[in-house]
Amino acid sequence: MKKTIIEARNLYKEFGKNAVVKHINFTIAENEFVTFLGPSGCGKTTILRMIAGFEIPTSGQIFLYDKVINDIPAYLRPLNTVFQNYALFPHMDVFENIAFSMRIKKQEAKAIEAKVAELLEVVNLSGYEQRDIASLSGGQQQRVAIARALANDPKVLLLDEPLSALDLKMRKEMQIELKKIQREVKKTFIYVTHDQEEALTLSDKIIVLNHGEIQQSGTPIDIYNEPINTFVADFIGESNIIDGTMTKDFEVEFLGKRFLCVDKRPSLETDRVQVVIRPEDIEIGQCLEHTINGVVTSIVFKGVHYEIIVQCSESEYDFMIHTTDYHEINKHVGLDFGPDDIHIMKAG
Amino acid sequence: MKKVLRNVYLYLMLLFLYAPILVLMVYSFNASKSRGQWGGFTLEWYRRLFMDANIQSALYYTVMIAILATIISTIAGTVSSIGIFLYGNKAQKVMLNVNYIPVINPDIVTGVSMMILFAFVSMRQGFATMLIAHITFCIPYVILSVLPKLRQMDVNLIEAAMDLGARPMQIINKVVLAEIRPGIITGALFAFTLSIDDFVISFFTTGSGVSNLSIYVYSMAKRGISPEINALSTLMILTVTLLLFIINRRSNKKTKTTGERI
Amino acid sequence: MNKNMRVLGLPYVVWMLIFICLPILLLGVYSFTDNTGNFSLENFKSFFTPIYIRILLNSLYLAFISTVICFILGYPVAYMIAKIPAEKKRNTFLLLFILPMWMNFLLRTYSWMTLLGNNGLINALLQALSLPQLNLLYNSGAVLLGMVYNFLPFMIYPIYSILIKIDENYITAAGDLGANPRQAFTKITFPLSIPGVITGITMVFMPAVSTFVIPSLLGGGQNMLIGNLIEQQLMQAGNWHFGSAASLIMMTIILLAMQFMNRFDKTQQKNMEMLA
Repeated sequence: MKKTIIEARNLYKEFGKNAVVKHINFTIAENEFVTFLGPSGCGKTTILRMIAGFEIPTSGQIFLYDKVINDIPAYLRPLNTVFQNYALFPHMDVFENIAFSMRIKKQEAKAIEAKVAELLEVVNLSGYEQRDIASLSGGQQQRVAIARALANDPKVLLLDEPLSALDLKMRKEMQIELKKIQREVKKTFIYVTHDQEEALTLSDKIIVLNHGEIQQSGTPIDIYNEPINTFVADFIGESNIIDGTMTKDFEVEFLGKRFLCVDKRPSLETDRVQVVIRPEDIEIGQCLEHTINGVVTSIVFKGVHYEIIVQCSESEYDFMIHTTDYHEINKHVGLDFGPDDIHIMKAG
Repeated sequence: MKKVLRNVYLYLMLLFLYAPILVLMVYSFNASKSRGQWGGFTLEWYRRLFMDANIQSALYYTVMIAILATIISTIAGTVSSIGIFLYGNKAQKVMLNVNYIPVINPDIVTGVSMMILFAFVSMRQGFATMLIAHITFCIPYVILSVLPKLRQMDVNLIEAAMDLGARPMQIINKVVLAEIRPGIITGALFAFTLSIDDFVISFFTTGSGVSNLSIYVYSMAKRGISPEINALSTLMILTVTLLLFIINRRSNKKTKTTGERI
Repeated sequence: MNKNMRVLGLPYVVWMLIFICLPILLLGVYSFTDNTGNFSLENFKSFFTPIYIRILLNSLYLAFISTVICFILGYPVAYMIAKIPAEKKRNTFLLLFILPMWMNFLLRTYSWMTLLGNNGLINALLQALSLPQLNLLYNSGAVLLGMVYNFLPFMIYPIYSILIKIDENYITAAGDLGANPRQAFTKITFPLSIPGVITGITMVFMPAVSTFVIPSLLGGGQNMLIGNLIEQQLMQAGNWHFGSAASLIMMTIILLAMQFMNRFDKTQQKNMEMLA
């Protein structure tokens, strides 16, 4: 078991009368890459700013190891932040930006020089010491911002949507780069984003937030495969969400048919559930007795696969399917999926 | 605590800035001619002020010159801006540098050099020379307000107008002027406030018999303090404050309505 | 609009030649000639004698001191206003501090006469308290006070406009990197506000050097500054050639000072672009 480095207990924050973070609890382990994921306004940035010390919690505690850090000002916390728009000091060159925190600590010039060189190596910008901030591309500024935040050997690195200002290609490159840097420097990274794909790619653990509350937390695979409610299912990847009923353990009924599944009948007062099936888990085949049958109403080429909409014959439910096979519009098809592909959630 | 200190400092500085003006205004209602004591409330100094023919003429010249200088420099400055805007980079830069001279040159140098010019061409100093001087120092401000608006203007607008069959003059009337209007208004306000407030340049470029309010106040103040100047000052300060208030409210309203439209 | 419409700029080019370029050219001609119109360096020779040099140095000295005082008083004002979180309150304060810029310069100077004069308010108060009266008016102190009073808003406004544009994130980032609030100010906020400081210094120093109203109303006869000298030579002594030379010298000094300040500014300019 890894050691817990950051913990929040009953953390609550309101601005005026507006509660932004509602009594949440979470733990973050050493050297973990943890992502707070959620739509804008879900409170993820506020949580990050409270950890950094830019916002003071209204109530609840934040622990660093076993010490409450609520009242420690940002400049005394051994945590550093990579800002969304980088916030690189425009009147300093690359070297001075990275050296800033070491100069504040009055470290020796020799040591500073060595550390800056080492960090520039880590972020792949060796030789850029004397460059002006304004002359750097977005991706390069991003790297400088990371190097600057790492200069003080922080216990935790906080990243606030750091890739949102970059274009798609650059963003993909930086994702890989970030993961590489994290492995190299062996530090805890706390990352905030609204981009589910980014979260799935980078994280060891994802904490999904909505309206200031934690919806689900777990590994990317858990969250993707076993979303706990419709919000998570909908937010992480695309899904078909259908109302259904548990008829017994390992059997669920929806759209008038019964299917085997891998979940037990939940011990709730109701048997009503919601069923999630990912678009890529559905196979298009022939209309059969036991399959859900329908008509192809649209097919769009998405590059790697086709996105096909099949409208169910009886219920008019639209299924979304990702497949590499082409199917003509108006073709009658049957939808096939196995017990593993059916994810049961409590009805929301 | 910090906030208290901040407020104390800011209010002290405001006291420093406004106390002399307020004292001056209060004294304009003082019946006693000596500043030491309060002789009761009076409007006597205001009455004398309105009877004074010199002040009436100074007021006339101040307003007259300000209005004429504003109108002329706004029109000339706008037309010139369009001309300058169309020149290439290099020529534009030279023109703007010369245009900038009256802005950065100390007023006294502008005043003295124009005085020498009028003497050189044997022009009798008076209303006309003062007006010319005012126009000369107002146009640069109009250009500096209008030209940025021209530069911000979307080139596509002009091309769209041409595409739709507008001739050059029509383009200017229907498209360009509408686009740069805020700049023109700012420039005109600049010109008016600068002209109505000017002392130094007017002082050097006017002739006998023609003085504006500033010159009048100066010549009286040099002789010492007098209750009539206090009264005149009070009126001038109140007028400017009122004007600013109106301008401010107007621009506030405007941003509000445009804000709604967006 | 097409290139033909460039002609719209021509009348003003002619106007500028006659009313901007020619006057300065004439100023130069007058400086280098004597009464008979012959070339002469006599005006400059007589300017560079102790009596006039002292006037020049005194002008520069008073302008310098008043600029420093305006900076010391004005920077905190600009900073405090910029830090007021409520926008409405901030704008009200700003308006109050720059409103005097629109009030007639002469009246603002004159208003101090009512306060400082021998039978002005301050002395009346002293008398009421049976304290000895002071000679507050007609000395260098009064001139300095007049300069600071008149030009303070010109220092506050440009500094404020830069401070308000500085991204709050820079300060947050500095704090994040271990700078305490004081270090964040000296290392980030102040360096970033230098362009505003330079504009402020220029806007105070220039009119302070060239003013003749303030010394003439508050300084009395013995506190002559270069502005008074020019005014006196042209309006009273009728020595236009000498007055022109004095103007030219003052103009040169001011332009050199601006050039010097601009060079300071150059290094900051690209930073400004990022801030904008």
